[in-house]
Amino acid sequence: MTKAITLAISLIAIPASADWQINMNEGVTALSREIFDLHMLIFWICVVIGVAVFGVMFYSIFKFRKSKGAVSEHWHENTTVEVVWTVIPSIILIAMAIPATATLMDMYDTSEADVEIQVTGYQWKWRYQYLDEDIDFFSNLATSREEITNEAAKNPNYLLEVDNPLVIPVNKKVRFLITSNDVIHSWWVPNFAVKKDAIPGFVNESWVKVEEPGVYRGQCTELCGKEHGFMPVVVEVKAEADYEQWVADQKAMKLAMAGEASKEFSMDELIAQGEGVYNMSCAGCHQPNGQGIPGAFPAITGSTIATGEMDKHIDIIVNGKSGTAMQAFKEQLSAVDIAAVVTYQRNAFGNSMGDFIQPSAIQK
Amino acid sequence: MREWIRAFVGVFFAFLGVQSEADRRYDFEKGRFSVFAVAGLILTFVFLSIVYGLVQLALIYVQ
Ligand code: HEC
Ligand SMILES: [Cu+2]
Repeated sequence: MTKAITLAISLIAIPASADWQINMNEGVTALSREIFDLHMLIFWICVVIGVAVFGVMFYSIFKFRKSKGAVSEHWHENTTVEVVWTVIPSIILIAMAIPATATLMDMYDTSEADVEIQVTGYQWKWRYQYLDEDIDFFSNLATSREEITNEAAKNPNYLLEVDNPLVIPVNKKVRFLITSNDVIHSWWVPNFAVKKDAIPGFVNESWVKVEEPGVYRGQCTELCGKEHGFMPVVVEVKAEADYEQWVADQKAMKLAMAGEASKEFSMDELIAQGEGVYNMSCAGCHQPNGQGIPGAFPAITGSTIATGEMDKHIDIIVNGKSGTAMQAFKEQLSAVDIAAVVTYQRNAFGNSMGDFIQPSAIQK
Repeated sequence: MREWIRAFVGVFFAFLGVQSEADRRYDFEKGRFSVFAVAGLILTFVFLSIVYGLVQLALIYVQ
C-alpha cells in the first residue's frame, strides 16, 4: 500500500526533475530506490501535516483578527485536546518508524556477499583491497592541476575522475569494509545510497548490488583537510565476464610490475616517470613547484633530505615520518615509482644532485 | 484501592505530558510518594514492554 502511494507520488515528481533537480537521487539499486521511496513517503506525510497545521493557523489568524472585533478566550487547559495532539503525532511517528526500520534492517544486512572490498581513506585518496583476490590499489584524483588552477578548461567530470576506479561486478552483492588510515573521511556514492564514515581504528560496513553496468561517481564527504575536495570516488560496474577479465588483467599487471622492478633504468627515464608520480602523489603538499607551504609542508628545493644522503631520502618516502602528514608511501607506490620520484626530487626544482637509484635497490 | 488507581492515572498522564491543574494539585496534596514511586516503576516497565513489542512488530514486517 505505502509502496503504491510512493510510486504514484514519485511518478509525479519525475517530470519536474528532468532539467534541474533539487530532490535526492533515486539511485541505481533496489535498496537506493527503497530509501528514496521511504524519503518521499515521509516527505509527503510532512507536507500534509504542514499544510493542515499552517492552514488552520493562518485561517484562524485571518478569520479571528482583532479588527473584526475578535476577543481572545482565557481558558487555561483542555485535557482532551492536549491528549489528542499528543497521541496523534505519536501514532504517526510509530507508523513511520515501521517502514523505516525495515529499510534500515536491509541497509545493515551485509551478510552473504559475493565480493568483499576493504575501502580505506587516506589524505587524500582512497585505497581498495579486494579481500578474496590479491588486488590492492590506490585511487587518486586524475583531474589535471591546470584545470584546477583555471589554466585549462574544466571537463564535465572535473574533480570526479580518478586514475584507478573501483571496479565491481553487476548484479552481485558487494560488501564494503570502510575504514581510514589517518583522519575521518566518508565514502559516498549517491547513486548507491551508500554514505559511510571512514574512521581510523573502526570498520564500518555497507553493501551494494548494482543492476546496471556503468560509471558512478561520488566524493569524500567528511571534511578531512586541505585536499578534501580532491579525493573523489569512481566506481565502474562491469558485466560479469568483463569483471572476470579485469581481475585477470589486474593480476597480470601485478606480475609485470614485479618484473619491471628488476629492470635497469636510465636517469632520464626515472626523472620522466618521477615527474608524473610527484604531480600525482606529492604535489598536493609539496606543491607543483617544489616550494612547499612554509609552516606546513617543507620545500623540496634545497631540502636537506632531498639533497642529502640517498638512504635517508628513500626512507622518509617509504616509511613516512610518524606524527606528521608525511605518510608512508610503501603501500601506495611501486619500487619503480619510488626510485623515480626520489631521482626526480634530487634533480628537479633547482636541486642538482646528479645521482639516481635503481628500483631494485629500493627496500620496502 | 482508589488511591492506587489515581496514582496510576496520574503517572500515565505524566508519561503523556498532559495533566489538568486540579488533578495535579490533588496528587501533590493528597498523594503518597511511595505509591507514586511504585506506580512509576510499574508503568516504566509497561512502557518498555510496549517499545520492545513495537520493535518486534517492525522486525516481523521486515520478513
Ligand atoms: C599529505 C601531505 C604530504 C604528501 C602528500 C607528501 N608529503 Fe612529503 N612531507 C610532508 C610533511 C608534512 C613533511 C615534513 C615532515 C617533518 O615534519 O619532518 C614532509 C617531508 C618530506 C621530505 C623531507 C623534506 C625535508 O627537508 O624535511 C621529503 C623528501 C618528502 N616529504 C618527499 C615526499 C614525496 C616524494 C612525496 C610523494 C610521494 C611526498 N613527500 C608526499 C607532507 C607530505
Ligand atoms: Cu577525505
